[in-house]
Amino acid sequence: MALIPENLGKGLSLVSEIDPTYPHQKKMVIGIAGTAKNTGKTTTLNCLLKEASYRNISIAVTSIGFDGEDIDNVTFLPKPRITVYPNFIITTSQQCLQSSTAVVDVLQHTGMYTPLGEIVILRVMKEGRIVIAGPSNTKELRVVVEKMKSYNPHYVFIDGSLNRIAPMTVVDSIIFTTGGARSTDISTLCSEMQVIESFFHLPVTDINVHTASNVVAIPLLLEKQEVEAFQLQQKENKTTLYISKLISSSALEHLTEYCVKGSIMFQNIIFPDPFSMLIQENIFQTYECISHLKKSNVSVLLLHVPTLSCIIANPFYPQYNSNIYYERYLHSVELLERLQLSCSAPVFNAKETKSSIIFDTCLQ
Amino acid sequence: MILQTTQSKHILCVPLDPVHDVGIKLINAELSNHGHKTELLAPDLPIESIIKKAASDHYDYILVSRTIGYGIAELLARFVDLLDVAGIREHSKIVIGGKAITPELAAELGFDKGFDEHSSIETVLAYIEGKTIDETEIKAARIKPSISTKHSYLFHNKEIETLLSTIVDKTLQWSEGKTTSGIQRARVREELFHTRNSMQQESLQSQYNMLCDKEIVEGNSHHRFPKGVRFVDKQELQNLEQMLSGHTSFHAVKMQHNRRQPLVFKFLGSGCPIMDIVHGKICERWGIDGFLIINPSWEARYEGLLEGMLTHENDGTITSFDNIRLMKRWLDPATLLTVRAHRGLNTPEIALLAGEAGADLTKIDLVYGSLGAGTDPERLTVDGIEAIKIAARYNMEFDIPGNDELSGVPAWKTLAGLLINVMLGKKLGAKAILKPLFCYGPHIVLHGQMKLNYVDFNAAKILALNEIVDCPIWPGEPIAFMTQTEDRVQSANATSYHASLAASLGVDAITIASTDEAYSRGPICISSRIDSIRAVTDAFNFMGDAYFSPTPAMQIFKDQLIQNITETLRSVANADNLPDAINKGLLGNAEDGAYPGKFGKGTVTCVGD
Amino acid sequence: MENDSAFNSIMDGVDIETYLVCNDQQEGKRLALQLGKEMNLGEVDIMFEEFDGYGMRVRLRKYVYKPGNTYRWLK
Repeated sequence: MALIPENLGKGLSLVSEIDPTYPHQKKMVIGIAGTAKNTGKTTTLNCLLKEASYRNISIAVTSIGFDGEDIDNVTFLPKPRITVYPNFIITTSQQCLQSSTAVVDVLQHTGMYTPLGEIVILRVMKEGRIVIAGPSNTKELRVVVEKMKSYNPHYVFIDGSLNRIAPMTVVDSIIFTTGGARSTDISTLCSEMQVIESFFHLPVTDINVHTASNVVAIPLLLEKQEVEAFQLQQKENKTTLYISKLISSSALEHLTEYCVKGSIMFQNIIFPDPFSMLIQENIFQTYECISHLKKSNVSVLLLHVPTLSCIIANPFYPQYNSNIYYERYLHSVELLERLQLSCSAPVFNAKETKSSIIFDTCLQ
Repeated sequence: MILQTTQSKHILCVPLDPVHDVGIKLINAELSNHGHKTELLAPDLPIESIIKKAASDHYDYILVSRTIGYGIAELLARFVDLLDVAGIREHSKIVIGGKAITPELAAELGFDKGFDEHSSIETVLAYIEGKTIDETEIKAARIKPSISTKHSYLFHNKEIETLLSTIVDKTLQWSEGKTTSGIQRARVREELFHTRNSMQQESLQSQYNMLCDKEIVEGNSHHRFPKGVRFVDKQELQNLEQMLSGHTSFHAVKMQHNRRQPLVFKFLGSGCPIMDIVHGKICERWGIDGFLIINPSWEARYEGLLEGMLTHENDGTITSFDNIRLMKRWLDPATLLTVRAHRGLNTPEIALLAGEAGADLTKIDLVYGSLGAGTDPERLTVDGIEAIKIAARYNMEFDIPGNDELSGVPAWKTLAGLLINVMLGKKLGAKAILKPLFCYGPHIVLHGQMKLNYVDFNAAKILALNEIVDCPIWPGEPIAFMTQTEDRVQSANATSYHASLAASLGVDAITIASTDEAYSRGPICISSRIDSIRAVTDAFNFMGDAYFSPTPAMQIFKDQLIQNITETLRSVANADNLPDAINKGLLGNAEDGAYPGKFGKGTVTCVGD
Repeated sequence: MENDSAFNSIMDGVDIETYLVCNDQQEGKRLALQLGKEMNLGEVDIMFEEFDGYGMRVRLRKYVYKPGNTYRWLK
């Protein structure tokens, strides 16, 4: 039974408004990130691709790595789990190509290498299954996305890879998947998703961090000792702290403490994007710090915020007992209801929600 | 001297395990030795320090080592994320190495490359330097070792030397003017090798056939072979060629941990030269230095040898020229090959074939061949002397297996027999290699020399020989004989302990068996061969340059052995000649379980007869 | 195989140690796992594998009983 959230109508296009001849959508690069294995990332991707094919929309699909969840126990190669359709543009690795059942035409060899071989860009000629593999670092991912865009797909999907998120900085919007496999405690799932979403609701700054004179920019890593130093000798006119890359968790804690106490006088703390928060060791601690900062009238701002377009929740989780694997499920309705109460983004069950609805929600 | 090459890379080595990872330390050292600029961080540093270090300079590669464990995948993936956000991935490749790292895992975690604990430094280097190598590429040219060059063959024990001289002189005198069909066949064969004239070849072939038993003629002229023997067919050869051509060079793994440790030999003789070659290549790859080709026991019964590339469905590979040649062709040039000649009626001819086919050694033992292997002492002495002369001509060493101990002959009699062969070699210009056994022979079982430990008595044999003469020693055959059961682990262990002892005693070479050694109902499998190679490699590693420490009993055994060898040689010197001594049981009698052989009895003739 | 009494008399696991002729590590692994299936053992763990250029030395393990299972040999 599908749960259709009340805010679904907000800013969505109807099916008939999607124009297949419009070459580039504004929010064209879409990421799909899973919080754990078996949370429905693959199902979601497959469902979106199928819907796109049904609508005759061509999609480019790449990955920030390679999802090694399913290794074929006979071939010992990753099992091709993504179904792709004619005219789709796909990246995979040379070695994974051999297990593809889709008929493809190699468009380009990228000269970029993964441990499973060179990344190649393909056009799908005949429907089939394939392993999606792509560059694991941001620099190469940007290049690959540009290369794929040159073939004029409507959208570029970037499949996530477990435990990593940094290269998703290139996306315009992102879908998160979560569920029983992440935690069997629905409250935990809700808190986590709420925290994640909060990072995507931080405001965008209009401060030019590169040219503004009141900005202290941290070039690499802000550590606790530098925070101490700010306490001692902060210059009055430096009202904005720009953490361009990394901040240690102890530095963030101390920064928060001193800002709250008033011994450090930054008005604004700017991060590049929500992913800067997601790579922190403890996102709950990060969330707490941001909350405290906000309460102390310190603005936590971002340079760029992709849209968190929807959340996919999968009630399923695997249970292992003496070498036998059991399928278990959380209470599906409760899971979706509670998640929807905690988050403003639409929450769907990938298997039960109509793919057209997910498609319309995520691809604007 | 470290050479700075144009390909010199800047590498940061990061041990992420809490305790120092030796692997990455070694890789760091090796990369540095190859001219790359490397830095090794301390283990277990906080992630932030590592990031700062990685960002502080332009590293071409960041090598991370970490054992995969619970929660480690998350840790590593986050580390990769941090490197990305820090901008380090824009110019540095990140590599993960450690136990259980697979390319799939490395890809999933977001690394540029992954190596597991088996990856060789060459593979890592090739990646760093941007080269592609075949894992089987030869690393350094293998140099063919020579066993005898380090030895002077000088006798330290003058009394024994004199006795041996007497025995050998008497025997050489006795054999003067004597011949056998074996010798004649060898002569004909030698001419055949050097004749191009087809008419002459036909005539020589005819002469050869007349000197052979009818079964051999049936086989060679009419291709009617004994049961289980057939030609290797062309397709099989082609398939072999195809299989091996891609592997003409190989990664030379060394079993020995240091230069002092012995060369390691293995038997080949499955019956099929193709199986032998395939096993041989694999054993070479695992570090075996040489092989002993074992022929079928029935070859000993016939006058004459079968010709051609022949396969045989039972134990023992037929020692035809073509078979030896085929094996020589496919085995690495630096691999030593010895061909067993001392059984039966074809000793000189086999020595000749071995020499012509390019083998390095041939196995000749006039005593054991008569006492344990069934050939008439007179026949084998005359043949054996000729074979030793042939070995000398072809510059082949000959190894002397002291397998008489296996029948129950006391060790000192066997060793006496070995020494007689050494002196024969010396007088005829060929270099012998002593092969005392490391075994638990019947005499030892009865008299208890190895009851308290296996070290003292085995060590005593070696040290006794060392005291008598400066001659190479190559225990076998194989070591640990009769201490092994069908249990793989026990068998591998037995071999490895004896190998350790051999290494400790500084012997020149050893022969090791597979873990199938005790199982007699089927051919040897490659897994079982690798079992013992692995075991010995580890044993060598363990021993290194350390020594076994024998008990005072060893000295007593050694002195007793030398005394008894001397007494035995005294009695042999009193006999007319070597065959006479053997027939009289002086080098092993019925009580010892040794009987002079019967094959070829009465076939020694005088030249001109 | 599950109902065969000999199989159930295995205390804990069964190992297959062998040497598979193959061209590279990947092929060797694939063959090893396939061997487990062909020998009717289903999914097996590769405990040890080493490719030497000619083939792969391999040890496969099939766990029949793990601690906590109901051991059919315990009566």
